[in-house]
Amino acid sequence: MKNYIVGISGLSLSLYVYFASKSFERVGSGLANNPAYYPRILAIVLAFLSLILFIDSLRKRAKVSFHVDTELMRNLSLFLAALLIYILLLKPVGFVLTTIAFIICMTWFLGGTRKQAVIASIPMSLIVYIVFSFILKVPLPKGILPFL
Amino acid sequence: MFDFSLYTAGLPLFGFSTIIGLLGGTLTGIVIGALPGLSAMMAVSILVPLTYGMDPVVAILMLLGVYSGANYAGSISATLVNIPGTPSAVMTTLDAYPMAKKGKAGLAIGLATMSSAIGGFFSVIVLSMLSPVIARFALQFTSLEKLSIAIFGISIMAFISKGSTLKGLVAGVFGLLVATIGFDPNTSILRFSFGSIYLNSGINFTAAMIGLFGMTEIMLTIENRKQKQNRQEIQKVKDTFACFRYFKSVVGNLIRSSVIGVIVGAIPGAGGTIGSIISYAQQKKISKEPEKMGTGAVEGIVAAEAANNACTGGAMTTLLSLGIPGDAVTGILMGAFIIHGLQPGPNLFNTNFDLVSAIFIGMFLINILILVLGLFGAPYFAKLLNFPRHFLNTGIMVLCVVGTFGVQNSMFDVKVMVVFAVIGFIFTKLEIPRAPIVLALILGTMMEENLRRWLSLANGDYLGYFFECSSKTPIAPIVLAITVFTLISPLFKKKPIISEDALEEYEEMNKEHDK
Repeated sequence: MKNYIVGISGLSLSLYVYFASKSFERVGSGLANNPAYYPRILAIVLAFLSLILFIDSLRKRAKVSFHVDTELMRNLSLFLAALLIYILLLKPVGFVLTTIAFIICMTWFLGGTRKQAVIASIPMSLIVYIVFSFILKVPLPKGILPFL
Repeated sequence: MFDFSLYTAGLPLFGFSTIIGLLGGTLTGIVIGALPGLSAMMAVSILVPLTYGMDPVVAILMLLGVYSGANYAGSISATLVNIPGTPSAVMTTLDAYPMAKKGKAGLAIGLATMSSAIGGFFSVIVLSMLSPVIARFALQFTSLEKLSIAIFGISIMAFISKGSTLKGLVAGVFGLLVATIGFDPNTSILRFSFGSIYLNSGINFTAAMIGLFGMTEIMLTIENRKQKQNRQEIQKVKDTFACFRYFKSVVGNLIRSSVIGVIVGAIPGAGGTIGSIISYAQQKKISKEPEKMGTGAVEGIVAAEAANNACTGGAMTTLLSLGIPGDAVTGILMGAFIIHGLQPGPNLFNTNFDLVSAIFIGMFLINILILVLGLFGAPYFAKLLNFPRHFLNTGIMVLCVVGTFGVQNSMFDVKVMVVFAVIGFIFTKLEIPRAPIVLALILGTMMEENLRRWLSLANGDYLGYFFECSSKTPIAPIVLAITVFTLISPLFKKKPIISEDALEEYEEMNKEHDK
């Protein structure tokens, strides 16, 4: 099953690359100066590999079965949602506050108790903030706490 | 007379900050390596952004410390809880854990420390002797040779990665395609930018790497979120110095395993894991009491750990002299070199003579540090194993985000990081190895430039020019032939390249680990 997915997605990616490269090809400029040439070679190689993979699993009569672990899917989407919200809020709200909230959510989500999560969050985010903005001179977003 | 300047030129660079960087890096590496689930790959990729503000020498040496330290420290958790702290410590678990169960955890860790340091020393000597020679030779390489070596590197990485070679190659080509995003190097025409100006200069390598090796690892832990971390009874670590009593009886073993480690490390794509598997299998063949191996034998630990750490020098040899990383971690290190404006490869020996020299001296010092820190600090590192995982994982996530942001203060890079984390997760679920992607991302631009330079030199008559180049120096056709032969070799014989019983043992270990 996995090989079918890899084969089909590989084939579609190579088809996409092959046709998308039309938009920037320079016809008649020779192989070396045509920017579309190299991606196309790669696309052909990828298509070839994917085809072998696909045919090989057909030959072995690999079973086509599909089963989704709903529990995993739910956890995964929660995880990604939390991460995305964190990243989107980082700039407007500021690093320290969003990171405190994120650490509380994540520690709890990854299996810690609520008490642990709250206690750890403030020192952890402050340490990261101090190390990055004062020692490593990375201007982390200040957001609504301009005095930090 | 013999010219020693290559070995002394770096001495003036060892100021206070360099020593602190070395010590800090090695210590961090040992701590991260000792924690199960955090590999050397993850350690180096998360720490690369932290080095941006540093002097290049300090930065590179610190990362080298992390690399070697983490590589060694995998043996600590291998000994105490039977889980390799880094993948390369797989073979160490076979003998070190049974020995620890007999109440000799200190001896096991001491032996691992001693063999790691000696393997490391040996590999640094080989590195410092061989790499200048190879570099001088490699300076004559033209675009055709560089191209064929890059193809060789990616193919071997795909071949050696766990899982099917075909999927490894798919991953490699995927990485090469990602590397084409942005301005075309020859004509400055935009390719695959999807209308975003942020993609004009291509995908940020550091962001992709942190996503693939930092964030993906955390995503993979979600699966067993429900499993409570069971506090394991950890043996008391004492009397680590007892290992020196065994030194005399294992000298031959140490040297043999180190040689195996260096050679395997120098093959692009093959790292400490494969090195220690081969050396362990060899030891079992020569051993006077092979039946004792696997039940807590001294020689087993020595063979596995010496080879495992000797790989670091082998992998650095190809990185410094050819510009081709020897394994995934050195691939990430190569990214760090480039970030600091250094191009690893034969030219480094001309342009940054003192840096190369500092790397030799630094790696030597790192192995001394491993010996000292390991023997004295083992009881304390052992306590780390009960550190709650949820704090650790949360901290790593924050570091991934902040580190990626710090690269060029861009939120777009952070989004790229998340995208690559998802890609890494899907790839892992589909059993596609991730390491070839990193290598391909690094080598992609170089490959394309060399291919096109060669094509324009050929001026239409490609086949004729290929033969003309090959008749001057036969390196390119030889390298290409080896590549093709390696890739098609599984079609002719069913026998794997690694001796079978070792492979079986390794597979069994994995099964147990998966459970």
